[in-house]
Amino acid sequence: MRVASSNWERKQKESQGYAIKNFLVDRSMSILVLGTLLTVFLLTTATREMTDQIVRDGALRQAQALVQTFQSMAFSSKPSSLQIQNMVSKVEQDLKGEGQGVRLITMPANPFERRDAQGSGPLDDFQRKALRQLNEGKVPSFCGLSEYKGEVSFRYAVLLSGPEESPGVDLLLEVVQPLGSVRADIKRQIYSGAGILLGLGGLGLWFLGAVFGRLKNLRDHRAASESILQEQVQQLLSFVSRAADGDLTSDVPFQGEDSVGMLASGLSVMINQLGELVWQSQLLSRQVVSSLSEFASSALRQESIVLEQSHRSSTLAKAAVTILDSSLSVESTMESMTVVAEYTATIAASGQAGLETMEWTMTQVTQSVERIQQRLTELNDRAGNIGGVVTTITRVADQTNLLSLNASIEAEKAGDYGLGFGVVAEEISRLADQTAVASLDIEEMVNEMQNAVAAGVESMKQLAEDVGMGVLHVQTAADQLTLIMYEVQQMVPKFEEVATEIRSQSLLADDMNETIQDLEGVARSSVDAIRESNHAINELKCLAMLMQGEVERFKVHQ
Amino acid sequence: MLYLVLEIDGECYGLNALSVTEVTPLVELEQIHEGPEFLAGLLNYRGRPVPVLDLRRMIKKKPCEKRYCTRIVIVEYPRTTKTLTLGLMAQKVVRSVRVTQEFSPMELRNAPYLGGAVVERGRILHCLTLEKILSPQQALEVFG
Amino acid sequence: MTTPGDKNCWRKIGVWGLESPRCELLELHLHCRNCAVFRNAGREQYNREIEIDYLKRRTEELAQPPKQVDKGRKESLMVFEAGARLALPCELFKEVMKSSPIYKVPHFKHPAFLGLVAHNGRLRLCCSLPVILGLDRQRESDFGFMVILEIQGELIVFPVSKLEGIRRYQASAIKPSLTSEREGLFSFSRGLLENNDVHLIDENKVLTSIKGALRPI
Repeated sequence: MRVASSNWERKQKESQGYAIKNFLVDRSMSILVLGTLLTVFLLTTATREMTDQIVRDGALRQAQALVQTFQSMAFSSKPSSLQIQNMVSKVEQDLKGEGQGVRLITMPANPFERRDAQGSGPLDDFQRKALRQLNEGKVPSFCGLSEYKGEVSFRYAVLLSGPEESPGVDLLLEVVQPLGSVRADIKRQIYSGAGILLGLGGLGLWFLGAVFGRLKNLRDHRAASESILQEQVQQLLSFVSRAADGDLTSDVPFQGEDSVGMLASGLSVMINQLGELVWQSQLLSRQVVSSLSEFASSALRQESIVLEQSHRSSTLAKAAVTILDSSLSVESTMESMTVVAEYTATIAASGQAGLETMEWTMTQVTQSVERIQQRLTELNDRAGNIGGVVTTITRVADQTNLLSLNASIEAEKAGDYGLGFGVVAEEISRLADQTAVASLDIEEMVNEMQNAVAAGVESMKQLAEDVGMGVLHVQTAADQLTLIMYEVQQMVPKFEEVATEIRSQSLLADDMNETIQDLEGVARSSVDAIRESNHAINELKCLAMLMQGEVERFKVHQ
Repeated sequence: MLYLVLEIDGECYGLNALSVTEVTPLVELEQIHEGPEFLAGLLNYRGRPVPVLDLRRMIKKKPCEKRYCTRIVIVEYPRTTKTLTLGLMAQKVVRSVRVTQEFSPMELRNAPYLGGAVVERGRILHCLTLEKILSPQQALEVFG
Repeated sequence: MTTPGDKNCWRKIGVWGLESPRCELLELHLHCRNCAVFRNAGREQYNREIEIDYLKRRTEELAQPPKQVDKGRKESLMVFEAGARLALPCELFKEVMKSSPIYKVPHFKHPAFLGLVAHNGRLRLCCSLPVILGLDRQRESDFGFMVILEIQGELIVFPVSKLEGIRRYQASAIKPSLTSEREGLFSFSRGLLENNDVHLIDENKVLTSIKGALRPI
């Protein structure tokens, strides 16, 4: 009993060791299972974002091909509405298998009417946006991600001219490709890969479970076995403990026909089989690790690519913002230029008005000058007439002088009687001289006047010439100003045109910016997802390595 | 005594007003081609032909210019038994002057008609002696 | 700087000029017309060359023989207008002058007596000839001239509206007026002239009438 008890104690001790081993095996299994599940989950999540990208590219290509087909069908000849309808339904049928859809929205052909048109039913945000862009005619097509019927879809829209019989109608062809359907495919593939992995893991676990179950059974039976068997059992135990220690290379110490021998041989077979299994597990785990490493490195590459993409998109976003800013500034400059041009035109107009007034004034001045010249000439003639009067006055003075002489002579002859008369004669003589002086004065005044008039006529002539030149200059200036004004007036609508264009460009840039920001967001989330998946892969790798370590612990025959 | 002043090129010759019949303006004279040089022509004086002497011609050897102030002085020329009407044409006759002082006597052989001189208002006034205005030979040429 | 004798000196430094500086000769002559410079300047005007047509005209004028004058006795009469056309012998006229102010004599009212007029520093009686002659009252606007008549040594001023001039009439040309008329103008008329249009007034009767009017009452 003592031995038995000691054996029991040993057995107890051994069973304790097995329990620890079992516990370890159980834990590693659960870790494996958990790890696998985690891997599958993480892989699913990571691939989800990546697939979106892939889906978008693929969908875009597909949609473009579709639209091209449609266009080539539609525009080879001007189709009737029935033909168009047929084509649409045909395309729809073609697409249905791939989970895609085609929408055809009838639009007024006039872009201005289109702006507020609801088409055939209320438009959603994407359609409105697409319509706005297409209305401007700046882009041939419009694409983007948008929710469609509760599913995130890639959508592609083009504007087609309407059917032959209704010229006032355009068609907005929209191809919708839900991302879910594509994603499902990829998911399916990934899930199948994960299933295989899970199956393999399960198989390994089953084997381990079976082995350890058998070991457990043996331990239970061993308590009731013979002491003889104890040595053998001891040997077997040591063998098993070696095997339990991981050395699966040692051979069974004995073989026999008895139950212990059979057990030993069976154990040997089992250990060999286990070794083989472990070997296969080792191989498998190595493969897993290596494939995980590969996967991790490819994930890293992907991360770097996505990072690069993100970087590029942010650069693009910056560029778009710069374009937007510069286009805005150009727009404001154009506006101010328009204002300046209009102001210039106003000034030129007022200048022209001023010049016209000046021209009119100049003409008035010319007329006045002519009148003055005429008056001056008249004045000159009158002055000439005064010359005749001067002659008359001189004659009168001369005759008066003669009279005074004769009177004085008569008075002298009359002697004392003529004294008074002599005084009168002297007075007459004096009067005659005064008259003569008066005629002299008049003559000189007339001469001065005539000189002044001649000078006036001359200066008037000069003035008339100057004014004529002035009029000529003013006319030239007015003509030039008219030309300037015409050119400025021509310029203003051009400015407006440019401003409008820039405004539309800025709108476009705005949209571009928005799209790029979307893209950036997507890229950023991709990066995050890839980082997460990297992290998961790394964790997985660690786990796989841990598992490998555990598996490698077993020594097996190569 | 009142003297009629006859100016010839700035020189003043006085003629006693009492010996003057009338002063007439310059008129056109009938030319006498065969007559002596100093005879300016014949004046139709109120229907009477009167020989006119050109005093400028006589004194300055130049004919009188036709000006407003050129006048003909009608005088009665004393000739031995009777007086003859004679016209004296002078360049400028526009004033008379009353002379109170005596003429300083003068006797020039070449100019016998100058009967003396007096200074009047700062200018020398020669006195014309009517009787000697023509030399006997000249008088003979004119009146025969 | 203009000095006496320069061209137009009377219009620059003389009385017709600014007199600044005043011509020094003005101190002597008081007025330019008294100055020899001025008179000579005037006389220089006569130096102008005579026009041929004027010369010819004067030739014709001078060739005209004088009109035959009547040898009979002539009377020089001054014809004038004062209420009517009147005539008086020239020798009565002492002077003809422009109309002068008449100084009224207070408390002496007679329609013929107008007042006193200053003449050569003396006051003369001024009487209305039309009133004396029994014609209309004279209005002061009609006082064109004033004639000073010497009648019997008395100098009396009469305003007249118009002086026609001195006419010489043969004694035979004066027709005696009707002596039967004792009233008005005819009572003063010595005779009629020019188709009985002009009255030759008897100056002595006028004087008598004036004296009667001026007699103190």
